[in-house]
Amino acid sequence: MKRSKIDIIYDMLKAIESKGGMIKPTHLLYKSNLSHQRMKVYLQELKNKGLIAEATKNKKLHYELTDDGRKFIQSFKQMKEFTQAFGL
Amino acid sequence: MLSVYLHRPQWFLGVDASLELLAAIITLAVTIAAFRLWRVVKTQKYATFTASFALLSAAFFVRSITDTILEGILLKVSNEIGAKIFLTGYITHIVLSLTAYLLLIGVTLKIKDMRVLSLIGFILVPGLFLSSSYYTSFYGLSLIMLAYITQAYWKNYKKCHRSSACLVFTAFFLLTTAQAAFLLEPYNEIWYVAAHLSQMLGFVSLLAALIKTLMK
Repeated sequence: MKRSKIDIIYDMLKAIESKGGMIKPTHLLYKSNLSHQRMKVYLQELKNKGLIAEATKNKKLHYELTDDGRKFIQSFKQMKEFTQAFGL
Repeated sequence: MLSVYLHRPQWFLGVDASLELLAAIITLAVTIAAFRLWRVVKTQKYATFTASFALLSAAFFVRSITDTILEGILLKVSNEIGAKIFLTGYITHIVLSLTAYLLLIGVTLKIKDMRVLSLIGFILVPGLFLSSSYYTSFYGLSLIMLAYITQAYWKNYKKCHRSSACLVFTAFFLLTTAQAAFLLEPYNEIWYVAAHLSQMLGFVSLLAALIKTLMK
């Protein structure tokens, strides 16, 4: 079944959370099951929305879950239910 | 003065305006929930859905104020001013409601081409304003539009089988029924009461759906 945009965002944020709130780009690519091109678009959008932030660990680029990102994960069930109830 | 405009029982005066205010509040609650979702997802369909419910809320708020004034609850107005208030209030309610239903049709039937929506919008204009009775044509058009929305929500319920989706379908089914009852109002004033009751139950069902989603 095709994932909706909200599902993809949730999957990406969950992947970061499962790695202790910080993940390498390659791990995120693997865990979120997206093409490199699509992941780049989503990463930019998540950064713009303030759901994730770039960080460096051991001199390597990582993506870090922000407080807003954690709030999104918490309210995801509500949003999902709303989306399904109203056929969005 | 009121009987000049609409057939409604005396004992129901004030009740209708209160129910319209309740509808405005419930649709506003849906608008806020949809707006919060749009802030996260920022896609067109969430923006359209939010705009649709915001317009519906404004439509019922205007209608509630208009009825409150016409029924002489807040202040007494002359027949001449009453006629102007009736015309302005009801036309505003009609335009806002039909635009809201049109946007909701766009979302529920997944119409992506704005030209199709604008075409339907343009077809509505002569259907409404060339009619000898705005009131009858408005409820006729609403009945058709809401029937399509209800059918889309039935399909949505069959697809996801969630109780909240069933409540949304029930809400729009009752709202569609209410339009049919409003059309029968000129024949007997009891239909006006029946229409309002059906409409209220529809909005209560919508509120229940909203509460159910927020309790997740």
